Amino acid sequence: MANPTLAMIPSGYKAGKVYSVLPVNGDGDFSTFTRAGQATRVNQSGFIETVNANVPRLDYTNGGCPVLLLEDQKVNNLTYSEDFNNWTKLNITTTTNTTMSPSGDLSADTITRNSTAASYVNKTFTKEDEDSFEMTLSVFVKKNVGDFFAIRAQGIYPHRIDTLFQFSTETLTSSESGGGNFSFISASFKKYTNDWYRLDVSFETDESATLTSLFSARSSSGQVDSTDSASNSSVFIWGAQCEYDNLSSYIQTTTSAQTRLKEICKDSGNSVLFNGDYNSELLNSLRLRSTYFENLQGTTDILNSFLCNGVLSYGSTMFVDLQKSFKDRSNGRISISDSSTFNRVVIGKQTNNSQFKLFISRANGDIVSEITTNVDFDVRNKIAISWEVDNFKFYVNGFLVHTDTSGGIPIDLNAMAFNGSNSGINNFFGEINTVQYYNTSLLNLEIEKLTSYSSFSKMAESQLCIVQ
Amino acid sequence: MKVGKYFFKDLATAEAKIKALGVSEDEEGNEYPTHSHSIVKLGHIVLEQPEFDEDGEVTKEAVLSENYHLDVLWDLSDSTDEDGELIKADHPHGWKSASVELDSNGVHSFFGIDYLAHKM
Repeated sequence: MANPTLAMIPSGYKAGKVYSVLPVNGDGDFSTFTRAGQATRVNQSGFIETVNANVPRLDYTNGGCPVLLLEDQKVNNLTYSEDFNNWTKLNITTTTNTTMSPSGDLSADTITRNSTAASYVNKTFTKEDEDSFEMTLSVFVKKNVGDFFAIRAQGIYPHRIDTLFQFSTETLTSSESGGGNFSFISASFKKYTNDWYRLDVSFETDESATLTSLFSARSSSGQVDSTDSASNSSVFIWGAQCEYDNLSSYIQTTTSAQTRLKEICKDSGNSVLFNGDYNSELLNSLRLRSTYFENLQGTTDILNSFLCNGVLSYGSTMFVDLQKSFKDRSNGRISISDSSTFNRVVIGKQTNNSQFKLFISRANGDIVSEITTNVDFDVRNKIAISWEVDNFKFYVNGFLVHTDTSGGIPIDLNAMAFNGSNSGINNFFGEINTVQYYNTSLLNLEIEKLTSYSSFSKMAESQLCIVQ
Repeated sequence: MKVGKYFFKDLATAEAKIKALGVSEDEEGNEYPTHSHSIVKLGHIVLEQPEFDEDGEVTKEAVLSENYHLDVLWDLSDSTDEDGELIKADHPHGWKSASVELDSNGVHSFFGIDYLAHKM
């Protein structure tokens, strides 16, 4: 099988740049990476750390090889995310900095409740508007006294979602009550180093102006305002976050809510690199001349007429391997383009967060071939597009999902980007394992192998299954 | 890069100001900003936290601001003219009258960007 002409496997970076492993001359590096402020990542040791502005994040949350983490602008609306002594308390005591937190510092607190019905810490913030929003509440917890941890997200009482986590069984149960269209969407947890868990619950809010988050330790099952079987249930707690849409990386707050700014990653490759597989020395030199001597009118036209008439076998393949595609309001895309919306090859998520749209356009942006296909955003996905004159193939996770057998190819491609056309628009947000470009249209068997899994275990793990 | 804090009488007024900064539509009809500023809608911010009784019912409502608040990270910088004179970046048209100046980060900040060091 051919080697990729361009391969970005998250490994090397510096402020403002993500290195590609191929080509070795650096032409494939993503030479523009921007994020105006700080952000956090899980480092190789498993601890959460803050990285400075414009520094790409290689994230190790899932262990093993890192992913390139690209996220949209998000606000943590909960102030004092690590200091629960500054939360409103009811029949509960807080002891600050009692144990090592997921950041590796002595910054986690202990909250200790009594057996009184209502015993919790809580914090209220105002939403963007008195409207219903999809939101996610998350917090890091570690077992101390008692086997349960209770979470409540509440609009106008009694509109609320209650979630209970049991440490010994690692189970989360949620219930909605009180009406007001305050409804449950999903709940999950992720285990971190030193027996920490990050719990998250997503819900649709009611139309109240405010949202209140409540937390409590428990020795018996129940809600934050149920009596407890013990009078000293406690839990270690750190890193509370409430944000719009889906869960994102942790954003530390103190006296104010904090916004992590969006990331833009683009400017990989150039017009020579994306020229495709020229089998003719004559046309190869023509292409190079058209690239470097723009004043030679007609050179590109001559070349393209050869290509469009099928004189040449000129093919290419674009491959992406995504650990996760974030469910957000964006229309995020990964593209190889001529830095416009005219000629481009695009792998992009739809705003419905259940489909990907794959398409190729040329000339004035005319669609040559496209397919919109269902994709599970919660699992790893491998997607490839192969194109040559009169032959377009789209693969998702080892399966050929669409072909077209007529049409010209996009020309003058000069940049790969995690957005729609090497601009700042339609930025893609997710966890990237790799992106690759081949200057040949790979054989069907080769693309099936590329977009499949190397073993049954890896396939099962990618679908969040456990092989026993 | 400059940080500005603003308040408007309501959400509609705030959204009209945001839209005036520039929007366009992609080929699928999704609206996107044509500017590179970062805007955070804070809403009617909490001035005083609510209080609850033992059943979780509110005994004292949260006190909210009457105005609608926004924070903006402007993609603007100070510059110098040909005489070396500093030209300070200014609010886009129509924003200055809605701006507020604080002596702290207030209720919101941009992660890693100090308001006082970057305020408009």
